[in-house]
Amino acid sequence: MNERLKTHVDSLFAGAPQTQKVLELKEELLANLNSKYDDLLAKGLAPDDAYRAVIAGIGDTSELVGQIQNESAFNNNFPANAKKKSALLVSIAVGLYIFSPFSVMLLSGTPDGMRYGPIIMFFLIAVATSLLIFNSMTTPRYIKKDETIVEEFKLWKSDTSKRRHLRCSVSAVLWPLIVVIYFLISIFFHAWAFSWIIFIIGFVCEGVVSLFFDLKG
Amino acid sequence: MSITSDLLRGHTDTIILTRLLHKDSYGYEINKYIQEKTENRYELKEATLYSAFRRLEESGMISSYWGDETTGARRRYYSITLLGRQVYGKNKEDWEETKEIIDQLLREEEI
Repeated sequence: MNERLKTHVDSLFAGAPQTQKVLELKEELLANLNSKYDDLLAKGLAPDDAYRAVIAGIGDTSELVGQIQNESAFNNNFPANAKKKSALLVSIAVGLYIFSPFSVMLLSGTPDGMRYGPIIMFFLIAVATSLLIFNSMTTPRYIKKDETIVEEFKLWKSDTSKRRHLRCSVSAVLWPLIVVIYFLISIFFHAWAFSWIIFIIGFVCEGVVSLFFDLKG
Repeated sequence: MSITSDLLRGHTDTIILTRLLHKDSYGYEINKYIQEKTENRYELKEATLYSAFRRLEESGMISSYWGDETTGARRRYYSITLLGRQVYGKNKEDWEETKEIIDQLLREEEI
């Protein structure tokens, strides 16, 4: 078994979807190339020369890769269970958003209600937003069907909308959190005079986060 | 060799069918056989060979199965179908006729 040959065969089919057919073709091709390589070694060739001869003998694989891509063009892009999981996460998140104000209303009658009500509310909002972020990060991205411009555009659109979605989710979690921190610090430390600075810090945080996303993109 | 290569490439499918007439075989063995029989004057590129396998299998002229090698990696074997044998017969006939015609046309005339 020659590792270099395996790497080379993998690179030939790197652009093709890794379906069962492609994996079988790779296995078949590799077994045959290895036999050829061993025969060349037995004839007295140096390993490097034998490797080069085998690679040169493969020829142009574009037709072969094209055949496979045509066959897999009609495959589904998203598995059904991934769709279901995504729907469940979004439903739970929306439910939490709707439910969150009730904690304030229910607890407002109790002595400590004014203190804990808002905390629970913002906690629920934070959990819901985390669920949305988790969902957008784990949902499979759009997979290209073929090499046409239309598919390029769909991929680009899917990528940008996903990034925008993620950024919105981050803001949605950041700002309620900042408000909570502002009130908590102001109330507990009686720091109303200068606690507004938290909003500026929050603004900077958001800027840093979006900068991070831009750099990553 | 480049001009003959083009001519030969058009017959890749028939060459493969011929090799499979009497026994099942696999990619490297078929290519080795071509090389030996032509005394190293002709050899298929792997890409050409496996494209041909897929084409032939899709059109029902050959079928494939995985061998059960006890040592080393398993191989995919190919066997010729009834349709494949018929196509082989037809292509062989066509070639004999083509060869005659070209021979007749390329023969230098004595004036």
